[in-house]
Amino acid sequence: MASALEHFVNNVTSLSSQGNYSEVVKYVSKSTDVLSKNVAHLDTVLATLQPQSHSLGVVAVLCVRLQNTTHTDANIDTLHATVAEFVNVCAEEQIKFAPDMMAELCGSYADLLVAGNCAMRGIEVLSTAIRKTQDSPLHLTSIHAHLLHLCLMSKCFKPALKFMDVDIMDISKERGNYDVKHFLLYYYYGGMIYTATKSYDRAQYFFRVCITTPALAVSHIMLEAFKKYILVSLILEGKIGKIPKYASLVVTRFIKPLSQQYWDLGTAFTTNCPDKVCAVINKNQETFVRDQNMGLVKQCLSALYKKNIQRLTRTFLTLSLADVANRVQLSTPQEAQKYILHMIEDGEIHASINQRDGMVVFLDNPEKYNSPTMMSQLDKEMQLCMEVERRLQTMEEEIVVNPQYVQKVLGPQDDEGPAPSSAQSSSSSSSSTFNIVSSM
Amino acid sequence: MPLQVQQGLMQNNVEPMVIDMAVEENDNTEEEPVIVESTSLDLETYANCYTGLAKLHRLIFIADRCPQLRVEALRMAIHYVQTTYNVNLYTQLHRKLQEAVSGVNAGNPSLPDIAGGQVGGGGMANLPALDMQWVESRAKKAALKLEKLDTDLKNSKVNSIKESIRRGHDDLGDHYLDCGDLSNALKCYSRARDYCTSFRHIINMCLNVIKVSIYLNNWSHVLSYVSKAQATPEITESRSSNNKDQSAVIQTKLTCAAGLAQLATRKYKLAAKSFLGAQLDACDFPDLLSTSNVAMYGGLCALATFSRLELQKNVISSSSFKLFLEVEPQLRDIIFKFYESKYASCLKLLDELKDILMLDMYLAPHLNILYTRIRNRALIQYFSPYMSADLEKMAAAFNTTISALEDELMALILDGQIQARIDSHNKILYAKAVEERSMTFERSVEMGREHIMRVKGLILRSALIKNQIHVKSPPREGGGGTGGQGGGDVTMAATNSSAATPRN
Amino acid sequence: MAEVNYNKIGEELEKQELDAPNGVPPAHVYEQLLTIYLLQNDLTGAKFLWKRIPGSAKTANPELGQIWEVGQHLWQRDLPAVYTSLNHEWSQTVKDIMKALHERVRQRAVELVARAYTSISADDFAQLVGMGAEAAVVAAKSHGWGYDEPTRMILPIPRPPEPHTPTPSEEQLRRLADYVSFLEN
Repeated sequence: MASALEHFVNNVTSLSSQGNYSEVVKYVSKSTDVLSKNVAHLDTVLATLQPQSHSLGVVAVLCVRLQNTTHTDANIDTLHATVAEFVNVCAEEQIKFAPDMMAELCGSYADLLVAGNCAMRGIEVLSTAIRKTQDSPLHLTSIHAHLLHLCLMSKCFKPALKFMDVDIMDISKERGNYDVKHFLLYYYYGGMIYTATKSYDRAQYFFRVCITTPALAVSHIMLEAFKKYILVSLILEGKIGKIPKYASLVVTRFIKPLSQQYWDLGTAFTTNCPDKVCAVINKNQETFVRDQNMGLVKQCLSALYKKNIQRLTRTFLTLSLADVANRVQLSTPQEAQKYILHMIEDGEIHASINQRDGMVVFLDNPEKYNSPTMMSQLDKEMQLCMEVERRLQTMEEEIVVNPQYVQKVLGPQDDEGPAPSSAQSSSSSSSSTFNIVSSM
Repeated sequence: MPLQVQQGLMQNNVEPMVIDMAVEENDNTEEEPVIVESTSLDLETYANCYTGLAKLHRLIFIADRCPQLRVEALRMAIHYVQTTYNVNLYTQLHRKLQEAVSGVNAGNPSLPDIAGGQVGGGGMANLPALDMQWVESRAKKAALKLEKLDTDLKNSKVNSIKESIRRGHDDLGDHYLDCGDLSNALKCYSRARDYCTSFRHIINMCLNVIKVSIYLNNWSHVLSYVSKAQATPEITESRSSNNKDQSAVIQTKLTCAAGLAQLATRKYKLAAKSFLGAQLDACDFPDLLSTSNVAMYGGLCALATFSRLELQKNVISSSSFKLFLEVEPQLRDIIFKFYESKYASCLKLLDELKDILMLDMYLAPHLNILYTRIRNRALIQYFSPYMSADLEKMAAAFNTTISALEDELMALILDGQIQARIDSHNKILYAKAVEERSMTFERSVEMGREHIMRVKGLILRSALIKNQIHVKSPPREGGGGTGGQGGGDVTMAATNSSAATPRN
Repeated sequence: MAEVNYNKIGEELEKQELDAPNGVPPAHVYEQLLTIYLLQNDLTGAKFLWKRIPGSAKTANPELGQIWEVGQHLWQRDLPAVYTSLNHEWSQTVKDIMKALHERVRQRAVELVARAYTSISADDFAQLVGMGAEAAVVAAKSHGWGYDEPTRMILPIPRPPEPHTPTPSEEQLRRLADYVSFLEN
């Protein structure tokens, strides 16, 4: 037995020293069985291998080691420290050959931390792991989802936000082992983190990505994301957010009926009548509580009062505080004043309160789009637009020169291949051409 | 040749049409029937304006909606139905009457005076009793007539005399109509199409189909046959003066049928235009509408949808519609008051009419919408010339309170129909133009952001497709499914941790 | 100047928290980080920090709870209660930051009143800035605001918008040219 492990160590050492990393990956992948049979001796193997020069060997051993332990293990602290140390010093150029193993390691590690109730410890470790594994900062790895999970569990969001604020443009292939589950979880967890930090527009985007993931079956993650998407849309836009046309059929056919209570809430919301919204909330309280969405649901109600006050600003120049309370169904003028004051503070309305007469004066948006500040802001928006457009263009160029695509287009005319023009035009066509390319 | 092709189409129409009708009926049942407690409607005069099923349907509608007139309306309907072969309706009406009488006596013992006039005491004796003998003999006669007509038609067919066959179908249709069998009537009238030999025949066939379709509330059918008839050359070229009159009658009938269908399908502006095309002296079809109906439907739809200029041009100075307005002087006053901006009295007159109009089977479902539109139009027009308006005066002009007026204005402003803001402190309404420049900036910034989001979403999506990542169906054999099922497990973990969602 | 300082300290503390063995840093890290979040008006940051502080640390350091009390009142935007809870003998660990926080809260209140009110009763204003009514009137006058003695109404004056820093016009032109060429292609 021990000799098998010795053999393993020797092979890893020699292959690694030759710099033939793809061979190392092949070898260690085949050795999983051997390692699993000798779990008891793995710590010795770890002590023999150098995390820096034999990163691929170590990652394989650690994977097996972590899979065969629990958070109640006596040596768990040492093990956590070993993983942390490994991630810190491992060689990036080696890890890039086995991103899937790295992801697997991070997954087991994260699970152990969560089970041991010390998720906080892994946040820095996984952040480093992501940076070392991903091809570019725009690539999504499976580790992203694990990191977000740790952040949610430890209620420490800032490290996650650093990654989430960068919009993902591509997905790490991880040698074909990338699972859709990690994609869904990343956007679901991400949406939850943005919701918790009250960045509702980002949260909405994340949930939307989640619910429009191509799907042939109902995923529970998508279902939960759909519910939260409705709630966040209500808070943000005052209505149920659009479901993009490209969303899979399962969304409208199965997921929508499964979240009927949320749909009802949205319908009540559009009547602008707090009583109706309250009625729906009371009726479905059990569901909302069970789904752990009650906090968000309550925020919807508060958002409705704000929306109604905003409607007032569009119709009135002046209004007494008592009338405000009356029209938006708040109980007292004092409460109305409080709402208005908070909304002014948050820049949600432009108004001034005149206590002497008990009146509010609603003002126009003072933004006249004529200041240099606005200019520079527009500038930024413009740059962003140009950036994504350029990216699109690059993608299209990639497709146009793709041999398979060219073959398809110039090939037999009776084929149902796409018209050549579709390569030159807009975003939607490029995604459909991708579809064709990838399906070949 | 073309006739035959169309005929094929039409026969196809017969079946789906029934389905159409059901759908439209569902639409109508959405609005709650309004019960009219009291009305100044003179039922006798009213009923005299109509014949055939129009009379019966209208009386039944009134009986359903107005307790005060229920017994009287049913009595008249029963009296009239006995002149037809509609035996089913006869027994039905009797059942209704029975219910109405016992309902009045049992349900409202405290109100004997209302019932008393017609029902109570000796009144009961005046009520027609269910005459089973009549029912039997009538049914027998109807069957005999049907048999005769059928034989006639068969004979004509044997002899293949086109004109006789056409007439045979028409006669059969008439008889079915008389018996209240609308779907068979429609079939017969439609079959006559095959044997039409002149444009006149085609128009005649269209009119028959339109009539039955109206009774069936099948409005899409009505519209398609109106346009079919209008496309027939005869209607536009009339040769002799005799023909001219004939042609005007047909034109008016068609345009009114179209108007009715448009009203029923809530295309009020089109309805107004259709009714405005009617000629008073050609308006003679008591089996469908009365002249006062045409005036009222057209006038109200016009008020609700026309601009001031359109109203002036197409209604007030229309020589033909002026004659209709003479029929309904109260409506004429309303329209003129509206045009003269005397909104308070205009709206007051409208209110006075409401009870009677609520008993009109075609108008009732739309009356509230039309009234609201007329009122809104008045509010918009009132304010249009001003930079600012005193809410107090405005409220007085509209018979309302300031706070109710504020509510109405608020709805109109939010809807973008009035560009203004309310100074509730000083009770003044100020006109307020939209600032185009800022709006444009605001909108383009927003569009830019949306666009970026969309493109990013698409790029991400193409990355998913490229990598063939999608949610798969879970494998059938329990096992560790990757997509749906595996996802489910993790979701549980996720929701447990969602304690992180904010509470406040 | 002070602001930059605290932001930097905040980042340091965040790092210390993440790097702490076992995920639990010394108590002073929590205390200072919590207070700095409040100072930065990052209330969600403060709330979730409070939630992730282990119970043992909370019991060992009652001051943590007192700091969070301030945070809670800030969260509820109950300014009078904020001032009451701020009025406390703070330990050396957070004393300076608390002082800065007190100043910042008052300053934000004054700015808000200037923005949101055209007239406000002296008593309400006093509550919002956490002063006695007389002192509040004096403070209002020092901002150049009006005061109507008989009605005891303070008449705030909104602050003029900040002067803009002009961008160099050549740079601007170059960008415009960029846009045009982008839009045309």
